[in-house]
This record gives sequence, C-alpha cells and structure tokens, in this order.
Amino acid sequence: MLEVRNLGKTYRGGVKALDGIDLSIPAGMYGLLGPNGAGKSTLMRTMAAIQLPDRGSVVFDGLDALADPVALRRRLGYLPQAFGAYPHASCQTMLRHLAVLKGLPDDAATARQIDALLDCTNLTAHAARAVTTFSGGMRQRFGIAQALLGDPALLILDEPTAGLDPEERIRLYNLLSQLSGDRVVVLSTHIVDDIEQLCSKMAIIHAGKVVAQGNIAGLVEKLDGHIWQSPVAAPNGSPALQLSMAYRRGSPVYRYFSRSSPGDSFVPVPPTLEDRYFLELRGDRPC
Amino acid sequence: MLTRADWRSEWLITRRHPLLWAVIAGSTALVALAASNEAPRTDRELYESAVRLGLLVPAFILPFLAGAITPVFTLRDAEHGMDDLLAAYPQTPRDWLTVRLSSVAALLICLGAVQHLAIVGILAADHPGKFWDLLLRAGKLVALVHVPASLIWACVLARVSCAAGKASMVYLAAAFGWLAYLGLATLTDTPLIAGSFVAWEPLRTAMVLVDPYAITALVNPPPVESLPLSRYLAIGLGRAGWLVLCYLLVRGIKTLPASLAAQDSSVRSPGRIRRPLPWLPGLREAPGCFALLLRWTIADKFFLLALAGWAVLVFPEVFGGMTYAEQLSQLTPDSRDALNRVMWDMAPPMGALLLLYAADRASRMSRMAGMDGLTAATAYSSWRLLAAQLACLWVVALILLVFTLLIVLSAQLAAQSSIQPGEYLQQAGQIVTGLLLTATAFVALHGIVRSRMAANLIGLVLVVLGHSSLAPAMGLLHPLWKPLSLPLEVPDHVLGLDRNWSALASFAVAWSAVCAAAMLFAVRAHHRGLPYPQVALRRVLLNPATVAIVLLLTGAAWQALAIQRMLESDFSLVSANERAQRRAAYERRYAAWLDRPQPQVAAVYAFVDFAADGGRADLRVTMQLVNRSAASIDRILVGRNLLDVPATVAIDSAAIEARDPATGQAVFRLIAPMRPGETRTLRFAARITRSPLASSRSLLILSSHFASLPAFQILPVIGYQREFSLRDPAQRVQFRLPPLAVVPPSQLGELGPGSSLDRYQTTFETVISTPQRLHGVGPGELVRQWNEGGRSHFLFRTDRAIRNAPAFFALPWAARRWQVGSLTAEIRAPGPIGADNPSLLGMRDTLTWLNREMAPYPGRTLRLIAAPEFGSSGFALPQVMLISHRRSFRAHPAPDAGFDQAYRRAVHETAHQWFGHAIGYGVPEERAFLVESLAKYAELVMVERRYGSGAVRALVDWESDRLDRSRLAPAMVTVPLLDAEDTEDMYSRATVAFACLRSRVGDAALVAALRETARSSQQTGRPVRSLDFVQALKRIAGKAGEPAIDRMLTSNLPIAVGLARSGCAGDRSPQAN
Repeated sequence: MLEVRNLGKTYRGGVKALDGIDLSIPAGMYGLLGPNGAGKSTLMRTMAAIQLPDRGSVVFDGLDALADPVALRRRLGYLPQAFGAYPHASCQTMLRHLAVLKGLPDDAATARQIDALLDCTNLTAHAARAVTTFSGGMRQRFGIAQALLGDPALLILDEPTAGLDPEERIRLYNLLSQLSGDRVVVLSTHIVDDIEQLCSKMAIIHAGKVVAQGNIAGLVEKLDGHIWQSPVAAPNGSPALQLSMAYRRGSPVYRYFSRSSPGDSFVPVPPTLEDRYFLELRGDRPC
Repeated sequence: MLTRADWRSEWLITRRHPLLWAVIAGSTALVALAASNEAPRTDRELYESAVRLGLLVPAFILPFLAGAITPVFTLRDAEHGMDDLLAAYPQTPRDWLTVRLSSVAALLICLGAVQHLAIVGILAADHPGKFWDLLLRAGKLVALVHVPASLIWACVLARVSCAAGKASMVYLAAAFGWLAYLGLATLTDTPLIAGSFVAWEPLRTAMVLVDPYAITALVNPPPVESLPLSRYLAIGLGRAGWLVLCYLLVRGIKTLPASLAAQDSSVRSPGRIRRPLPWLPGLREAPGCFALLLRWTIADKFFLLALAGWAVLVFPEVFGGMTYAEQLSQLTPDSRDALNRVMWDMAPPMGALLLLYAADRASRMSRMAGMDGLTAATAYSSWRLLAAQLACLWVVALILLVFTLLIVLSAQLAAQSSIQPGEYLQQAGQIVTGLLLTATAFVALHGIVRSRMAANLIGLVLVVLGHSSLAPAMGLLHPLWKPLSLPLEVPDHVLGLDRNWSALASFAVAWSAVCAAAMLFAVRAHHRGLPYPQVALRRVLLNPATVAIVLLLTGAAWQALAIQRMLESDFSLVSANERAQRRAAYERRYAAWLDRPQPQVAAVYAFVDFAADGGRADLRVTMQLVNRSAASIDRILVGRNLLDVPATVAIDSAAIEARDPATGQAVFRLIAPMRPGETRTLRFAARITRSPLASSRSLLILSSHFASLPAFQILPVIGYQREFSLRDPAQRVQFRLPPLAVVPPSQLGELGPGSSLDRYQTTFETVISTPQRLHGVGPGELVRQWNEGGRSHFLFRTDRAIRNAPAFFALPWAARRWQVGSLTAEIRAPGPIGADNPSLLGMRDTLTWLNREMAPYPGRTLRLIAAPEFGSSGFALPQVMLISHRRSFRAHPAPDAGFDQAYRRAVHETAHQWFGHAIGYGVPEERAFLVESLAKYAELVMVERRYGSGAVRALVDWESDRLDRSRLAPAMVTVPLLDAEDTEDMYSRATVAFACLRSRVGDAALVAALRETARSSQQTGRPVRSLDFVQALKRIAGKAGEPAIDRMLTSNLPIAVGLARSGCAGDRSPQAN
C-alpha cells in the first residue's frame, strides 16, 4: 500500500503544483488522470522520492519514502516521462549497467532476467542496438524494461503510453496487466482510454488537487441518467453543462451533463470515464 | 554496499565514449612526440630529459586529460537526459561519488603511468642500459607527483561538476587551472617554461609548498641544512595539504549533477520574457536571428566566467610583467611593452578557444533549445542563418579584443605607465584579422559538420595546430600547417610593427580565400540539424557556388605558392633533419679534402649595397686566396656557408670541374697550379633577399630602417670545414657515418704543426652603400664617407688582419664616439647616451683593462650597435658588437638587483674582442671555455672594480641561482668546465668557478695567465688551447693553487662539491640558498 498524505509543492513564482494531495493506493494498477500541467509528474517524482515536497508524506508499506529514499528505491521501478540514454551503448549493455546500479549481482541470474525483460518488451531482436537509435515506442519499452529490473514492488510509470502506436500500446497494456498482481503500479496519463483499459482504481488530478478518486465503476456510475447526447448544441440559456463536442464520422456529437434533457434532440446515453473526467475539469461537483 | 561489479559496469559504459579514446590517444601521442624530439647525449642530459618530460605530463597534459575525461564520468547522466531515470535508482550520493571519482582518478593515474612508461621507452631506446634506472625514476615521479595531482584534479573537477552540472564549466575550470598554473610557473621561474622568472620571491617560496604538482620543490635547489624545509618534507607537506583540501571539497558535495538536473527539469515558473539585447536598441531590429544569437552566446554563464577568468589572468600578467626586461632588470614601460605581454602569445590562442566555444553555442542554439527540427522546417534560408552566426561570432571576437585592450589599459593606468593610443590601434588591427578568420572558419565548420562533437574536435585540432608548436614538432615546418595562424612577430622598439603588415597581408589573403570557400560550401551544404541529403554529382558540379568555391581555393593555392616561394628564399623551410642530411652528405663526399692543401683567405674586398626598400642587399666580394702550404694546389674546393644564398663564384684562371648543388660545393681546377706563396682571386656575388615573412630572430635582418648582413655566414668557404661535421653520435649512426673521435679540450694534446691562426685571419676593405637616411658600418676604421647617386657610401678598412668573421650594417643612427686612451668607443643607438650610460661604461672599462693587461686591441675603434630582438641579448663580431636595445638601453637595474645587467653585458661582449677574437678560435676541438667562460671572468673583475664587492657578490649569487635552477639533476657528475657545452655550465658555472678561483689564486695570477697565453699565441701565431691557459695558471699560481684550479676547471665533480672542497662554499650569500 502506498499512502500519500497532504502533499504540497509550490514552485518558484508561486505555481502550486501539488496542493494537499491525499491518496491511498493499494496493490494493483492505479491510474492518475489529469490534463497537462495538472501536477501528475510532480506527484510521480515525489512518490519516487526524487523530488522533495514542501509538506506531506509518502509511505510505502510502512517505509517513509521521503526520510529514506534509498530504501524506497531498492523496491522501486520508475519510468520517467522523458529520458535519454548513453550514446554508443547497446540496449543490453545499458540494462546490464542499470541492473548493477539497482544493486543486482552481475551474474547469470541477472543476465537471464535481462533476457526475459527484453523478451517481454519485445526488444530481443534489438538488444545489440544503441538505445539512442530506437524509435519512440522502442525507447518506451526499454524504459519499461529497466523499470522492471529487480522485480520491484512499486512501479511508477509516468505517461508510459506516450508515443506508442496502437499495436505497441495494446502490447504495453497486456504487459502491465500481467505485471500488476501483488505489486503497486501507479500509472499517470492524460489519456482516458489508458486508465479505462488498465485500472480499476484511479484519481483525477486538476490544478494540483485530487478532484476525484476511487473505483472507476463507482465514479462513472454516479453519472447514470445525467449524460445527454445530441448532434446539435443545447439552446442558449440552457442550464446543462457541455462536457464535450466531437465529431464522429464527420457528424458533430454534443455531450451534456444535466439532470433533465437539455432539448428535444437530446437522448440519454450511458456515462463514460471521459464524461466524468470532463465534468471534473469543468469544475462542477455533482457527486 | 559497492562491489567490483559497480566499477566494472562503470568502465563498461565509459569505455564506449569516443571522446575518451580520442583524448587518451591524442595525449599519449603528444607525450610520445615530445619524448621523441629529445636527443640526450650524456647521462645527465638523459635524466634531465626524463625529469622534464615526466613533469610535463602532470603540468601540461593532465589538466587537459582531466578536463576532457571528468565530464564523461560525472556528467554523462545529466548530459544524456538520464538524470531523472537514475535519480530513482538506489545509489547513495556517497556510492556515486566513490565509483565515479575513483574511476576518474584511477584512469588519470593509469594514463599518467602509461605516458611515463612511453617516455622511458622512447628515451631508453638510445640508452638501453639505463632502462631500469629511468623506470625507477619515472615510478618515483608517478608516486610523488602524478598520483597526488590526479587525485587533486579528479576531486576539484568532481566538485565543479556537482556544483555547476555542466561540462562547459568543467572545461572552463580545467582551462583556468592550466592557465593559472602556467602563469604561476612563469612568475616563479620553472625550467619547464622558457622565459620564466622570479617575479616575487615569497611567491616562489610559497610555491615550494603549495605547487599542486610539486614541481617547484622538485626543480628548485633543495635547502641543504634545515630539515623542516627539506625537499621531500616540503613535497610531503604540500601533498598532504592538497589532499586534505580535496577531502573537504568532496565532502562538501551535497547535490549530485543528476539531482541538480532533476531539480532544473522540474516545472519552472513563467519568467519574464527578455528582449534580445535590450541595451542595444538598434540590434533589436537587426536582420535574421542575429540579436537572438548574440544574446544566447554572450549572456551565458560560461562565457561571462571565461571573460572574468581572462581578466584575472591578463591583468596581473600585464601589470606585473610589463616592466620586465630580464632578471634583475626593469623597463620604464610604454603601451608596446604592456600590450606585448598578452597580445601575441596569449590573446590569439585564448581568443580561438573562446571562439570555438562561442561557435558551438551560436551554431547549435536551435539544437540546444530543442528547436532544431522546427528551425530546419522554416523557410529561413541557410545563408541568412549562417550570416547571422558569422555576424554574431565576429561581434564576439571584437568583444574579446576590446575587452583585452581595456584590461591592458587598466593595468597601464594602475601602473601609471605612459599610454600610446596609436599602439593600441595598430596591435588590435593586426590581431583582429586572425580572430575574424578563426570565427569564420568555425561557423563554416559547424555549418558543414552535423555531429557536434566532431565539429568541436576538428575545431580543437585547428586551434592546437594553429597556436602551438605541435606541427613543427611533427616535422611540418611550413607555417601554412598552422591553420588560420598569422605568423606575426612581437614588435620591439627598433623594428616596430610595420614589418608585420606585409606578413599579415600574405597570410590573410590565403586564409581568407579558404574561409570564404568554406563558408560558401557551408551555405550550400548546411545540414540545418538534419541528416545529409544524397548528393547528385552532376548537380553539384554545375552549381555556380561550386565554381566559386573552386576559384577561391585556386586563389588560396596560388597565394600559398607565393608564400612558399618567399619562405624558400628565406631558407625557412629546411628542417633540422634535412640540414643534418646535407651535412652528412658533405662529410661523406668531401672529408677527404681535409688532408689536401687548400689556399687561405688573405684579404677580402667587399662592396655591399643595401636596397632602399630594405628587403634586399647585393654583396660583391673579391677574396684574395694565398697558398700558405708547402705543396702546390691544383684544385680548390669552394663551398657554401651556413646561409644558402643564390650566388655566383669564380676563381681567376680556374674552371669548375665539378659542381654539387645538393651540398653547395664546387671544385675548381686551376689552369696552373698555385705554388707555395702564390695568390689567386675569388669573386663572389650574391643578392640576399628577405621577404616580409622572414623571422627577425636571426642576424640577417633586411628592413628599410635597420639592416644586418652577417657576411661570415654567407661568404664561400675554402676547403673542407670540420666545423660542419655532424657531432651528434646518434645522427652519425642514423646517416651511417663513422663515429667521430672527439677529444675533449681537457684531454687535448699539443697542436700539430699545421695549426696556425693566420688561416682564420684576414684584412678587410669594404664599401657600404646605403640610402641616405642610413649609416653603413663594417669591420675596421671608417676611412671615407661620401654621397653619390643619391646614396651614402662608407669605406671601411682594417689596419691589420683580424678574425675572418665580417658583418655589415645599415643603421638609422649616427655614430657617437668617446675616447678610451688611444682607442675609440663608438655607439650606434637611438636616444641620448650620457657618459654614465652603463653600456658605455662597460665597454670603456673593459677596453681599458684588457688592452692594458692582456693584449693590445687589434684596431682603433670598437663599435656597439643597439640591436632589435634578434634572438640573443648580445653578439660580438670582430670590432663590432650587437647588444639588445631593449635590455641594455631601455632597461635599468631592478631595485634589489645588486648589479647592472646592461653593464655586465657590455663587459661580456667587449671581452669577446679578446676571448673569442684574439684567443678561442682555430682549434675545432675547443668548446666555449676560452670564449664564454673567460668573458664571465671579465664580468667579475669589471663589476667589482666599477661597483664594488657587493655587486660582484650579487652577480655570483644570481649565477649560482641560475645554475641551481637549470639543473634538474644537480647531484650528478658533470663534465669539466673546460669541456662544457651546456649554457648553464659555460656561463653560470664559469662565474661561480672563477669567483672561487679569484679568492684562491687571485686576479693577478689569473690575469698573468691570460697575458701569457695571449702573448704566446701572438708570438707563435698558433691558436690557444684551454689547457694552455690552465697550465699557465697553475704555473703562475704555484702548487697551493693547483687543487682549486683542478676542481674548478678540469674536474667532473658537481660544482657544489668542488666549491666545498676548495673552501669556497661560503662565498655564496645566504639568500642564494
């Protein structure tokens, strides 16, 4: 269990990146959803103990991560939002080096583990290539592989699906689903689909605050009967809250949150996590 | 808990970095090159070479190695964007530091050890029996110097890495440390740096302890008595102090570079958007991204720190150094003296290095800002982009130059020295061209080469080749091997700056064409941060830019050829190896002529015509040859002299039988053999030219307002010249010559019946024609002077035969004469010369003393000419002396000098009229004792008579100190003073030895021995040996003086031991210790 209590972080210039975050993250996949600039990466870095907060605590299985970051890091696998690699070093060499830095013995067992990770991230064929020559998706898979070195109990993945093509994304979903098991896997993203595919529990972060958290089904369920869809916009003066306007096959689709139908052309539709997400961003608190 | 795997893994990663191998290979090659350029002959020279090279590694190579290598270990995570990733790894800062720091230090130590091993291997190749001894000494140097120095550099740069988080700052720190040490070493007189001096004695004393390389303690004379100041204790204390400092530095590291970068990469608050160069409103509207680039380049922490560091280096150098003339002698400086301290040897390389950095920033701005893709996709043309970069770098070059001038000016103001704005403008005008060309080349380089590291490495190679002696050391003598370098000379107060303009124009034209072609190519082939496109050859060839590039390169090649022709006419392109090769061929082909009777030169009639424009002199000479042998001569071997000038030679009633252009020899077959006593006439004509590119660091100077024609290096030589034989045993082996049986002077037997002085003596009659503004000077008395055809003519004639070493001069200064008994002392120098002028006093005193005490002066007039900086502080020809204008006419004694260097030098050069031109020639086996060492004796006597015993004690102290400092292996046995060939022996050791002999046998005995030796030579007409003088001295001094004479002159004991055993050790004043 990862417990985050009252985390606060204000950057120079007064920007509040974290504003009293409280989270209890159990074993399994846990999603952090939020728009760009919401404070997700700051929260992920703070939970990984590579950035100190102004206040609050991060406790993992009884271990105070901020007081003893090295102890946490022995059990941590972390994939940052963006990372580089040493030029001229092959993927396998890099993993071997990183394994040593993680404290793994430089022996046959570690080599087997590296081979297995290369295999499960589909990088075996590219093991001899320099990571700097990898495509975005391959590099992301390398990032996952290095995070999994040493079989960590806590995995923190900051936007792991960024830059992946649909096939790679599905492969990653499958991999992460297999990995979760007893370990805590925290996944941050601004792509709602990632959360829906992978997580049963989540939190929505906006402007440094947790604006919603809990079971995904529960979060969505509460909007039942309040989501309306129409090919036209609601008339002016309607109290309904527009959640989104998108095109489907060239035709506009308007979705509104309202306790009653906003107009004649509107039909009630089942709510989605995206509806909940947009609703939280619009600032209304229906539940 | 760290394991071996941590270090192994560290090495596995770092060993893949190409920079690491480039630096390792480059530095090791540099060391090997330096070692292979050493040619030690004796054991002492071998060990001194080993020490010198061994100290070169930490002092000159290590800072570069450390600066280049450290970021690979300490900053690679941050530099390659792995900071966030690795920050989450369970490695404590202590573990990180332990692994990285120890890896850097271990690599530096191992590299140093390998380089020391390379030095030993190369030096021992010619001295195989000394391998183990050299290895042991190298091991000692590694342990005492290299290991602590590696630890110091590793700790300091690790701290800088963690504090700054940028490789550029580490480079800056290493460069600053290197330069600062060079500055300190220059001011504390280390034998590793030519021209270094003790600026402030307490600084040198402090350096004995705090020198990070312990070089000061190692190369300075060890304190003999007190244990607390003994050499090894000083070294130990110094190392301990440094290591404590290093420990504190490392302990103070709280944040690792990765954490630093991690903090930096976190979300930043929106900052104020700053306009480019708000303080230069006009530039805001400048075309393209010039203003943005300029701001990006100069508003940079590294750039500003580099400027600050530059100011820290330059100001003390100018402030403290502009008064320096030589040791114990000061100038009243003007702007030329102040600017000369930095503008010619410091500003160009430092400017080039800073421009290299600025070029990297300006050219890679888009990439550094992560905007390269965006920029490449814009319609902004490559030529505008490159033009903006070029304009930016030119402005940076001007900023550097103006900043340097301002520092010099402030130093002058602080020192209250006289300021000449015109000098500033002229020197800046000459330096700026090189900086602008360098800037252009770097912009083109970055435009052409996509890889940032490759472009910077190429740029660095250009800087190193252009501003170091690496190319000449590799045998590449042509100045065009020094890319973008303009071979300008430091101006003195005689030749001035004018001659530089022609050289500047010649080279600037060539390099400008190359740079313009490179820029044009860069515009065409600019990568814009993208992969190179495929090239269609046909399209490239038909492009007008290609034609322009080819035309520009053709123009550059044309100009290079013109430079080549000028250099060839100046004999500047003959390497030492080629010269040795020619000498070997000369010996092989003509050594047999040594046993053949050959005529001797009895009289020389010369006409010298100095051209008005100063670049040329015509020399027409008629030499009267006489057969003084007992046999008839049917063939005469006529050869070229040291300077290979195009000339015609003819002998009356003789025809050329064989000509050998390679060695410059011609065999004349006489129509009728020369019988004993008969004469023939040899006619020689030569046009000697000096291009504007010629170095003025020689006796051959042909400028429009000062000309010096050393005819003794130009006139043809008759017969085989033993002096031209190769003496170096290694070279003799290399060129397959038989070993030379060299008998040292201390073991030279009686001379054979064939040796006579008249072989080397001749009479001279010379007419010198000069432009009317100049005055001719030649050997002998001025008999007549007249004007004809708008030119001045001067007829000189010697009263009797003098040593055959003529030189002719055209000078801007009229003669000023003083009577010295029946003789005349004549000085040609600018400015007023009072009767108390030290050079005049030295000349008069010595003339009087030696003319009376030793032998009559063989003429009526002795001339002293104030000379430009021609590579020596003085040069004595028969009846004419050249003495540095700077050191002897502009300088005055430093407050703590104790004696006057100008007086000492005048005495020394005047004494050569006896020691060198009366005795000291005619025996090829003789070395410098009769010439230089006896002149040093004259200095002692004259300085004491003129200034008293305090002054002579100061002189002896100074020479003792010089001797101690020049010896890296002072305890080793040495050659007897009679056989000495090293300058420190023939000058400094001679002073110390004669000071001892004066106290033991007295001046009366010494002078009597000199008198007897000279008289004997005059009576017999035969040359004098050093041993003749020693034997005469022993005879006169008696048994009591013999041990001291032996110890000082003919023993190979270290001088300190000889002095102690002779009871002279206490003669040195305490401060010399």
